[in-house]
Amino acid sequence: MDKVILPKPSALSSHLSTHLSQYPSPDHEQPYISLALQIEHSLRYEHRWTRLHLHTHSPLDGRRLARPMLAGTPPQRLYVHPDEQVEMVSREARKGGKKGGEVLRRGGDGRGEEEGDMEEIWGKRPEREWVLPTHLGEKWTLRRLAEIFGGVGVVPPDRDEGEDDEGADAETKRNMWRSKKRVLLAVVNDDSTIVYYIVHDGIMKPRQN
Amino acid sequence: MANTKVQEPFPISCVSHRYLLFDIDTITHVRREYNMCGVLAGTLPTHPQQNVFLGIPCEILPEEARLLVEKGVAYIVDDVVAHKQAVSGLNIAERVAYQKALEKQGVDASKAFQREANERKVKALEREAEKKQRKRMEKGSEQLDVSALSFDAHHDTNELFFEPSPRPSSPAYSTTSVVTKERFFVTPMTSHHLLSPNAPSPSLPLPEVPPSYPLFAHLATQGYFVTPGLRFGCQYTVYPGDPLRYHSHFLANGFSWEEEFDVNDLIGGGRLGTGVKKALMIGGKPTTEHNAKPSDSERAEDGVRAFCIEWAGM
Repeated sequence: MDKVILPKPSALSSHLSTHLSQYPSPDHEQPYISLALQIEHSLRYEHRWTRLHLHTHSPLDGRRLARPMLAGTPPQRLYVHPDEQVEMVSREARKGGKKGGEVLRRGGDGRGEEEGDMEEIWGKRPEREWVLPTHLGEKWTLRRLAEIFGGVGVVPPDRDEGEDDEGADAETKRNMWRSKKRVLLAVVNDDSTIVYYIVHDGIMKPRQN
Repeated sequence: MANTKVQEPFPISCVSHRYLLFDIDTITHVRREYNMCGVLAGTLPTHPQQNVFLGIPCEILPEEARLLVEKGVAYIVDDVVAHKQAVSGLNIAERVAYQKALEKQGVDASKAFQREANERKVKALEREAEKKQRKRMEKGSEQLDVSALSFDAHHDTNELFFEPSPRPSSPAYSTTSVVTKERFFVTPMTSHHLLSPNAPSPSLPLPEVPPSYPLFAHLATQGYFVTPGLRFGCQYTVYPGDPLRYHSHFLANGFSWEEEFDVNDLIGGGRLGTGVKKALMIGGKPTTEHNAKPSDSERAEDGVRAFCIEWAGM
């Protein structure tokens, strides 16, 4: 009898099988861990997030989190506070007037430099975010949501000491507009579609984009 | 209009479980001071189908009525009971006084009518005189040499018709004073004057409210205008200021602390909200055991927690 040749496991399957064993946890939490790993895979390879970590314990008090959560850094700023946005636009308008003249005087030379400035103006310096992995079929209550926020701080910690430069920098001069906790709600459907929503703790006016 | 003083507490009429305001000053006051718009619900009795321009009464939400009562600035009146008591419970003296008041109202109306008729008459005469004078002027311009004379005539007519003020009393007024006894018969349209201005002594129970009330009260006391949210498929549409001046910021749904909701609902609301530049808000009041947790950063005085949900754009 011929040996049955199975296809190679998918990237996600092998990701799960290699990493699941790294997080020993009670049985009831296992599905949440694999949910989190699936989200992690999506964030890392589809959305190019970096420095992703899975937290099972709160960085605040070391207690077990209500749900395993991810912390990571998106490639660009994920959220810009509406007031910060207003300030950026007005600052850009002020700077734009000056810069325009300068660029004209120096010909095409100033272009690259200006783009760099714009990047800074628009606050593209990414900020670390908390991610809450959930499944579409779940039911939530306000209490559980409040518990999630009880376990996390405003800015997630960064365990990678290697890239100390940017990490420490971001931590020390934290964005003054980031005063409220927020988590990125990641919702997985059975067909592996994942959608992302930002949940703020408290009343936060909407962005005007 | 600008400085109408409304005496607090003011009555909120309860008619078949709906909460209505019948006084325009109160409606203005409530909108200005307590950020409640309500919905104008009154039609003309003869044209009940005409519902584009509705008027008084203004219907307010049970939540709004409750918040006003809890603040101590309003009280609930069962309109049917109050009306019956007021009309059938009059003693003779009150009845006579009421009839006198009606009579006076009729006389006043009659006087006003007469005065208006006289004014109309005077105006018509003035117009007539002006016309005559213009004709004379035209003639004057034809014969240039007698222009001075025609100006004189103009001056005369002016005095005659346009300066009635120095006269001590016009004949028109004297005629009205003769017919003072004439009066209209007024049919009173409201029992408002009969109603007691005080709250009913055993106060009525607080309006029944849905479990979303804590979130409503939380938003309303923070100065938000909270209106019904049917338009966006939520419980409340929340405006940062008067809806005439601002777009709404939130589509709010209130839950009780342990009430379950689908993740799907968050996504639906969040997506819809983001599409119209709003955020979905959910919130409620923790049950007492969770109340004294110090680690929660976002805690209001009333203990209500709110969460805002926006599409992340990825």
